[in-house]
Amino acid sequence: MRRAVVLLVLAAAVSLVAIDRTLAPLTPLREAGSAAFGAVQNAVGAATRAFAGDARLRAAEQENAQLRAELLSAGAPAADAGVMGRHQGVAAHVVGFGRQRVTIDAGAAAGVERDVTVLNADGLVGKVTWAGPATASVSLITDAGSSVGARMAGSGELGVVTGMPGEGLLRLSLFDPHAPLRPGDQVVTMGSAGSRPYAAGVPIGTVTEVESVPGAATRMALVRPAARLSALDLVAVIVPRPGR
Amino acid sequence: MRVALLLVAPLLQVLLVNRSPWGGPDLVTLAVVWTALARGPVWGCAAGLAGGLLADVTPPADGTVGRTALVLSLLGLLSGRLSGRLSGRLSGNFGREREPLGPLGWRRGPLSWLVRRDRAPSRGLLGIGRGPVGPLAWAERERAPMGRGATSLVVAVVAAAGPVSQGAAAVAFGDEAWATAAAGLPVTAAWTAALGVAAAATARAARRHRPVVAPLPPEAAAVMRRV
Repeated sequence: MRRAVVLLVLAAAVSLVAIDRTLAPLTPLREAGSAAFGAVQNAVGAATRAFAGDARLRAAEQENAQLRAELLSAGAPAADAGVMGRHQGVAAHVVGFGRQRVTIDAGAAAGVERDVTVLNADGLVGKVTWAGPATASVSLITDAGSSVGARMAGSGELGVVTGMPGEGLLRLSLFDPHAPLRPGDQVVTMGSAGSRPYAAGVPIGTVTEVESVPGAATRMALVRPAARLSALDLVAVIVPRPGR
Repeated sequence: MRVALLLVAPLLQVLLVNRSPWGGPDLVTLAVVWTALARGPVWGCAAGLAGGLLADVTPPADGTVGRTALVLSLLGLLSGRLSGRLSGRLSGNFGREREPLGPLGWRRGPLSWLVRRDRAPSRGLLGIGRGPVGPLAWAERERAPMGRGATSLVVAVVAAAGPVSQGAAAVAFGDEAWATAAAGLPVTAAWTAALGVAAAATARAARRHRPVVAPLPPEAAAVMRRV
């Protein structure tokens, strides 16, 4: 009897994993969890902000997020000049924290989709990995699995920025091994096709240390993120404008 | 109480514990291990499935659904198996764990040769060779309840195994990069082990101070009836 129960429980766990990975993703289960636990996270976040006394700033925050998203994209190269015509900024708060992932209190209802840019007043935060009904999961740029196309603000050299979770730093690899690179140089996003997952021209961070490895195929440097990723609150999501 | 703890553990984890700059314990593991130590392997296994599934679908988790549930149901089963031998009647069903099944339920059945022990008196040369002994017979030894130190050690190891095995599963299923899973792992494992040991010690102390109503010995009961 007891063996049967244990075997049943273990079989249920194994079959959950097997179904989610091979047959069909268990989206309904995940949406239910997002609806229930996400709602509680949103409520706790809203209550905390109301307690802190900034509930009346909500409208200003919303407008601010939109303006900021427009401003950041205005500095983008000509090829992406039309980005803000097709995209808009959605203001959101970070309400839950995971391992190199955060929950924001805006979801599919606000137009948030998978693989869109998340930024805050200082710079790039990450991208949306999953959007539930009223919440979305955001993977931070310090995640070791994250890689962002990057451009040096001054020289225009191209490269890739990957995360280093332990130190809260980023690693920049420039494709040109002889590219000029100094501590203090600014790194911005290169931008992806259709601004997904990353819009162009968003500040990523500042070079803090250049690694000089003779004969290396790429130019490596450590970058400190512009956004304080350990103390996130208000963020903006660049989402496609509905109806386009 | 334990059900409520299992329900709120994933929420408290993402709302409070994970934003602490000094790291924090894995609350879901603690809730599952506590249930397993108090209620035995079946409840531990079921609590692992429920708590792990909730942790899997609580945003911002976006990995495989059922990954944590699988890991934690195995952990609950294991720690429930161990609960019967821990010191100071930490477990509510101390002594009831002795059932005619091995640790994996194979004392009888086709796999019983694995745990076979030959108790016949020694006849071999110099007393060596008591006949064939199954390769897993050590797991089947009748053991006395552990001392307090050994109990704390077992609880610490089981609790620390929670975050470690969850991280390993996340990497194995390709949900997280290795560096991401490993980044805060030592701190989380240490917190979980420390809080697990502290909770076990508290439970032991509470149980010791509880007044015990012992049944009357039969002769005293007979006297009472006559009076």
